[in-house]
Amino acid sequence: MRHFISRLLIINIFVIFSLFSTTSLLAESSKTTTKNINQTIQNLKNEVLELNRDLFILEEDLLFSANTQVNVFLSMDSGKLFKLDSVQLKIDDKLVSNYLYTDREIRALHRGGVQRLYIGNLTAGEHEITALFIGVGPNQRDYKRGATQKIEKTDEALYIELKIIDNTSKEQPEFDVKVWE
Amino acid sequence: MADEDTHHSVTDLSYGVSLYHFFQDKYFSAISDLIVAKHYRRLDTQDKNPELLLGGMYLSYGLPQKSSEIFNELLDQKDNNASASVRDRALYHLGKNYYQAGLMSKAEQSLIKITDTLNDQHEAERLYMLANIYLSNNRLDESLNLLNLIPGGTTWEDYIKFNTGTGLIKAERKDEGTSLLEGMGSNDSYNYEKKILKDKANIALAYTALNSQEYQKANVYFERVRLNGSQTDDALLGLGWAWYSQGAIEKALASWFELSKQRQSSPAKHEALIAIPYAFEKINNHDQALHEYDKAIDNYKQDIKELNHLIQSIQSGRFIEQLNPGTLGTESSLPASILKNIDPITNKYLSELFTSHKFHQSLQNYQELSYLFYTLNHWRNNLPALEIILNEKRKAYNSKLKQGVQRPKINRARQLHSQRNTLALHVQKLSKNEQTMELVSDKEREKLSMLVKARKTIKKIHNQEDLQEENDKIRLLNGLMHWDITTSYARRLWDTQKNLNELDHAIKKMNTSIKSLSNTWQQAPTRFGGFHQKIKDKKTRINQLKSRMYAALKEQEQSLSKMALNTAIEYSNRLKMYHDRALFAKARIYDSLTSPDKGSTQ
Repeated sequence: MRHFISRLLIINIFVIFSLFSTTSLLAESSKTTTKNINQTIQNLKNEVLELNRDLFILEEDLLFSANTQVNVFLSMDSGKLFKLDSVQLKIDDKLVSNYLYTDREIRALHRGGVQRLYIGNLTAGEHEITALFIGVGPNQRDYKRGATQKIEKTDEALYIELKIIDNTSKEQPEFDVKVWE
Repeated sequence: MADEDTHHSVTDLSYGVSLYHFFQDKYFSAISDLIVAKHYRRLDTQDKNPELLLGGMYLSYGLPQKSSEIFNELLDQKDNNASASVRDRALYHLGKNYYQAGLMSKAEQSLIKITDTLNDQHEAERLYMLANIYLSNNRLDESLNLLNLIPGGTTWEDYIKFNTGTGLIKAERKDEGTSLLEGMGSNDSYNYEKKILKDKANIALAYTALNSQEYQKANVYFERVRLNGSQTDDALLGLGWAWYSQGAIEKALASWFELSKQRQSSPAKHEALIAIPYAFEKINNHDQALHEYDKAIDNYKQDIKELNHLIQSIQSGRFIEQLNPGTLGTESSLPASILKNIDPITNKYLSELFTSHKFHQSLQNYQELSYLFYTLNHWRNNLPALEIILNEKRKAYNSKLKQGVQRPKINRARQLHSQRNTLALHVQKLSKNEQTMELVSDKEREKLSMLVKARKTIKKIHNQEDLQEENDKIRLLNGLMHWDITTSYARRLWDTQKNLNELDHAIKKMNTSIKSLSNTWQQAPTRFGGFHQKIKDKKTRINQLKSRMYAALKEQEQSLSKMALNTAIEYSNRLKMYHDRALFAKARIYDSLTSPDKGSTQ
């Protein structure tokens, strides 16, 4: 019986070894092929990244030139007091954005990511921006809050941040509109 | 670079937008955000975090060369007042780049320069990489020493212990290696990764004992492995051989029968199917041995049939169809989420391949290429819209140029400006030299005029009638009006100056608008021409890249198919070998039973 075990193990080792030997030769040539494929993929990624950048710049320069451009961003605090579901954005009483968030996006916001909610064009002068935040507030109750701000558009690009902040002393979320200089 | 679960307060919007995509594993979008922001100089150049993030993202996106360029640049900057923290993080990522590229010497040089500012996770990972570098060069003692430095509570410590332990055993320092693995093998933890490592440590210890013919020790280690883990099959097979080697055939059979009942196929299970009848042969239970050989043969036949179908499915392209992401334009599907949808037969035979690093890497490449192809198509479809918008803008500009709309408005603005200046000069004179009648309102002027007329009329008819009373009234009214005008001069002047200030404010706004309009007006012709050419160039570029991308996608599909096919064929060959062995063993038993001269199979 021991002979059989030995034979079994030897045969298994032989099979594995012979596979290993051929695999080694194949492995070398497949390593080279893999290396070539990887290099091709890396080159393609680099080139598409560059092209993508150029196209974004072209699009922005053509559609949203700096003297009329307005950008609206959204940021969140840790999100303990308010679970965001969606945001509606109006400029001069016209709805310009209505965004519904996935869990993944909310987690990204909680960790400090900032969403570019809207990019558009405005004439110089005074305008009004209104944001409506819809979600679940403290005590798991449905929550809807708005924030409105008058803004002055000059001939420079305008950056506005909608901020959702946890006010732990009041145990309530706060909604703020910040205009970046 | 951004850490896993901490909240980052963002002081830079563009950096924050990139983080938003980065935290969703959308590396392509996150990198694009940062490089566009750099073009527009929207990033704070004092803050090194965006550079560190970009370098790290290039690495995560499979662009190690780009990643290394960034980190090397950060480290080389002469005016670099970068803190030790920034330098350490740059060195950490650079070291990781080299490590993943297999450049161990360069990796070591970077990693050992790091001081002490890394967080615990990164520090533990740094030591893990160093340990593997030392092990690859047979520097076992240096690897051992790292265990004294590693921060507690991380899983990296267990990985270092496992690798060092097995390295020591292979280098025939069995006692040291065993002692290291023993600690892991008997450590209970709720952490999922630690449980897997514990099982692996026990498997390594068990097979080491088996090879040294320390069968009872091997039993102890095998019995520590979980019955519902990834190492269960290897443990049951090995336990069976350990018992068999000690002559405890029934106990060996018990382990192998348990293994044969496992739902998932595995090489260990297939080996057990032939070991069972072999064990029955050993205890001269030929009937049971024949029965079990038949079962094994049936099992192998069935699996070989399934494997043949699988091979056909791979060759016909159906395997690749299953790897395509469900939704076009999904940037970040994890390989694991795609593999969840693979059909059960494919999963049954290729599960080991699916857990291999090489396959994961290839699948990730394939997904990324698919997304890039989608992106190129997206731009190709959108460029015509940009052309239309450009043409409309050009038409509108030319139309306004034709109407000469601009010039009259600018001239009118100039006139208003000139009038304002005249007014301002006049007000200035009035503030120096009091001229009460200049600030009289039109109504007041009208009343005064009426009084003058009335006086003249009275003078004319004075001889004919007695109009002394009327004359007195007129004199009084005139006096009152002049008194009022004179005494309220200061207030009137102040009101006038206030109105002038408001006028200035309005004119300033008007000038701003005119300036903006003028700039746009002047730049328009150049911009139009420039845009047309750029759009044309980009179209050509997109088409070129698309054809290369398509070729790369096909190549990647072939690579994935080939890996799957090779695995399936190898599996099938192994089963055919077991099948043939089982047939041979059956023939041998029949031969021994039918030939009285040959006696027992021993």
